[in-house]
Amino acid sequence: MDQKLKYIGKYIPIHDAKEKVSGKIVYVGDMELHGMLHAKLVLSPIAHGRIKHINISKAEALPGVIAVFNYKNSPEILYNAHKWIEGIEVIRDERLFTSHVRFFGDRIAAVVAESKEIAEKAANLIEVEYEELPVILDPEIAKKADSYPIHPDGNHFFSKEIKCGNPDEKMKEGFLTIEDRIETPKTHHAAMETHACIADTDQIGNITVYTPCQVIFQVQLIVSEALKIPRNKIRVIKTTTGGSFGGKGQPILEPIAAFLSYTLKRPVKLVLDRTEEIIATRTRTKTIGTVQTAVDKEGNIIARDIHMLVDAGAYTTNGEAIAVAMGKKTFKLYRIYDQRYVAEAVYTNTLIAGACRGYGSPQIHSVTEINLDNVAKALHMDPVEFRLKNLVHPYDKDPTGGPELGNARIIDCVKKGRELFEWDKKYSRPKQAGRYARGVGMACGAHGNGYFGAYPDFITLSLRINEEGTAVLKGAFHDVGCGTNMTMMQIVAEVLDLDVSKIYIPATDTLVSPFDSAGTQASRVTFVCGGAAKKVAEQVRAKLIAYGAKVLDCMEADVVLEDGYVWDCNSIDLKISYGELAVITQKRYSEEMGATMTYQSPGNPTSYGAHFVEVEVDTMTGRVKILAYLAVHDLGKAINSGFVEGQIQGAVQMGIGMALSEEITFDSKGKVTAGRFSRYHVINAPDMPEVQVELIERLEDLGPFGAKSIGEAATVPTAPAIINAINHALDVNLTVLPALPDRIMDAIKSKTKERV
Amino acid sequence: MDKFTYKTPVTLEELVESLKSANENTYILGGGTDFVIQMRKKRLSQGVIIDMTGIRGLNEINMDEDHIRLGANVTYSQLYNNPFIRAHVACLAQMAIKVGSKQIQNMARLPGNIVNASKAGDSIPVLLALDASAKIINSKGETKQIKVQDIILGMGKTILNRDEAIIEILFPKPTINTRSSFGKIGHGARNELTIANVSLAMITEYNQINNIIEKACLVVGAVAPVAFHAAQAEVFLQSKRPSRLLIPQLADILQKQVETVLKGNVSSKHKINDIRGLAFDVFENIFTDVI
Repeated sequence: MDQKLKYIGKYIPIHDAKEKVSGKIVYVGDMELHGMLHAKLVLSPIAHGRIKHINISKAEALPGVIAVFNYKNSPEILYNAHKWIEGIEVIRDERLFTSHVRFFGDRIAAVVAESKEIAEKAANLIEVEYEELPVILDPEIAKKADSYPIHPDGNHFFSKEIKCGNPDEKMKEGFLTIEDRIETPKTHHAAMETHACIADTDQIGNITVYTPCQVIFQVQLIVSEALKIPRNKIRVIKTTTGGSFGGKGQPILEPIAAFLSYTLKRPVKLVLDRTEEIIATRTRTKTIGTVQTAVDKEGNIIARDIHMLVDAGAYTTNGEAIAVAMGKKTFKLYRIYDQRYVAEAVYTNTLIAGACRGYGSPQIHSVTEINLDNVAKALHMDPVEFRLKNLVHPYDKDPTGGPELGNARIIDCVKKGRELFEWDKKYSRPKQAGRYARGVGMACGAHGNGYFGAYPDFITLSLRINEEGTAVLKGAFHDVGCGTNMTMMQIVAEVLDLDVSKIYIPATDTLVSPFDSAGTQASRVTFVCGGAAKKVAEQVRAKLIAYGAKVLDCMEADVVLEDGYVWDCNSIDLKISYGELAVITQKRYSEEMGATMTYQSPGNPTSYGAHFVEVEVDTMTGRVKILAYLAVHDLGKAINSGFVEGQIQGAVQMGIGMALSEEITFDSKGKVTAGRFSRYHVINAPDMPEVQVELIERLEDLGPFGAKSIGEAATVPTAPAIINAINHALDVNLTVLPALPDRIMDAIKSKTKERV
Repeated sequence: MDKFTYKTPVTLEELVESLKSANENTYILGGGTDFVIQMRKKRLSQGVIIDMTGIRGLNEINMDEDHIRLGANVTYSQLYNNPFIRAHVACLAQMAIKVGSKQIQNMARLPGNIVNASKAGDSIPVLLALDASAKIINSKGETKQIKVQDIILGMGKTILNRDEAIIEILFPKPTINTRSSFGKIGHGARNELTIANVSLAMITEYNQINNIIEKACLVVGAVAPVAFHAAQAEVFLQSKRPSRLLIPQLADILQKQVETVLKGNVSSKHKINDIRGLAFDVFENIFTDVI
């Protein structure tokens, strides 16, 4: 089948590559509207307190300042930016500007001025007096019933248990049981483009919001809720997005910019700088996981008990959803029939958590995969052998009754990785004495494909071949820089047998794009939106054949479609273009060469990956070098091989950061001490290893051309694989991520002490 | 109205002329790698910028009988691309290639670290170890030569006046026995492209015939507000034969000294581990052929 594919599987550059590399592309930060004002946020310099007095007179007096807004003159309506579709129950605890600040970076005011510089200057002139309140930074303290409440109903706002079988009974039967406690950090998404937004309001109060967002209809919904303005008066246009990684999922600036513009009846631009981006948007959720795994003598996992403490930060946002999402993954990777997952979510006076590439999967897998290596070690088993004994097989069922796993090829990933990485040789290599210790590690990961089984998951698309023979695909696609549009174009090109350059996807705009239930979330785009693109293209293809047969006066079976032309296979001389056929069809049959349809996601199979890594640790300084890296992924089928490789490379870069260097830190009063890139360390080019990518393309039955998700799935196994490699190199048990030099040195020192 | 006046002297005479009206709003611009950041941080929107980079003759690396002379416009890239510097002033070349990114190395110039008296400035420990001086010109056209050691008073503090500019850095010519090396370990976990958390410059006079370290000079950077000589380590190495056995002892001495300087500052405790690693790196680098 593969030989016949013309577009699927090929590398075709992202649709706006030329404009991006030549600097011609316009991001929202580059946009200028006539009469546009500039806003600057004022953020809390303390982690917890109430505003006693706020003095804005000096700011207002500065020439060029148009207005200053704070809790006194802005809506008091509470909302939750995590809500993306009507009908979801959420805790509403966020408002535009607060009088009760709950973290260092909470929004207390905004200044609007004629220029950005004036707005910044004025923002510094606002004087605020606070009544300081107790600060809680540690989620384990927040969990206690008597901890000082950050929100009226206390700090412990959510609990959830997911269970299969009888883990308590089975746990007792274990030949051995290994327990671990693993902490994962709050991290920053570090997209190149910071959050930015422009809102414009016309004479009759219609608001247009330009934003690099992940879900236009969610922006519309949240702006509508926060401002109490009917949805139809709010138009959201997605702008070119310079990376998101989940960070631009929740509308943060949009309701503010919309409010400012709506009130002042002028366009308002709001752009965050990097420090604001780090502290005042969203972060990866910090977790503290404890896990207990029981195995029999042969190394079969017989029971597992997992507890995750979720630190949502100062506001709820997706604290409940991520706690549940993490749990679901734990039933989809290994054949464990007696297992309990419990999650508890709490508030702390720290930065707000939200979606971040993997949506909890990197955290939960860090906890469980580091633990499994410790189990293998206790069993004196090779961790690869141990995993192969327990991993799920294709078409296994989810023991909790969740969506079926589909063509789950994790075993293929592990076997392939073992071979390519020369795992057996590297793992058993005798340890060298000396300053530098080498080790290898691996980890597996599972991630989903959309919301099927949990939330509404559908998209409406409209595809039309126009009179020139080019095609327009209308849909609410949110290309955040990873190639969504080209992916859809390739799918349509393949089905229609039409060159990819002839397929056009217009801007994503609530006014003209058909409805989509969830946007770029939940790793649903290739699987669900791609599935929809394939289906709608198939409908148009059927029309091309049906009308082709009528016009050519032949059997449908004899109609050939190739490269934008249609003909009867018995009379090759008469070829008509798709455009000509569309015109004739309109003329003769009053029918257009197009289709509009709503596609419901047919399932939610699991994407898998196994990562293998070799590290060298400097035992004097605790610094780690990654010497070799292999990522093997079961993604069904790569629609665009270059994008897939790019996604995996980037995902590994994020995962290395989580494992080794990235952590948002606070001082004892809750002030962020890593609010800039000189203190918050992402892994950059010189420290990046060569990442070898290997794909297992065994086709998922429900996916378009067999495809499953990859962008999020690819960052899931990275951190635990690296920690396992360090643990292997040093014979230690690191339990706090990231494995900073200090933590590694402490682990080495405590090991030396043990021996003495 | 807010505005900058941008002066572009091409001769020293024009530089002197430009310096005449210098005041607290005058900024001397080299590669701009510090200034551009300060401009944003301090919201500078007016004043006079004197761009040094067009001054003829200041981008050369020269040598006279006693000294190596680096013009104020010599970039870090020029330093590590210079065969003589690489071969005979290894610590300078190794430092230059570790400064920031390639882009920074192409723009930044040595005087920047001195005039900004940055604690983490990579070049400072090297310049102190080299016993380097700066040639300074003032608005009257007078020049003077001052040791870098004496220019820097503290973090961000120097003895330089507003109407003075560094036009040259010079240091004694290495002898055939001079060997040196530089190492740094940055903030955080990254290995490359880092801001120094600890750095170490070491220069030795090593007599290969007798196999004796006649003199050693070690300067630790980024630990104290101003880089300092590790005096005990310098005494320890004097008249020793280089060997692997020396390194742990040298490392102990350096660790102790850093520990003393840090005075129990817990947040900086990794500097104590890092200096140990650097002691090994730098010593091994210098004596790799004889130990």
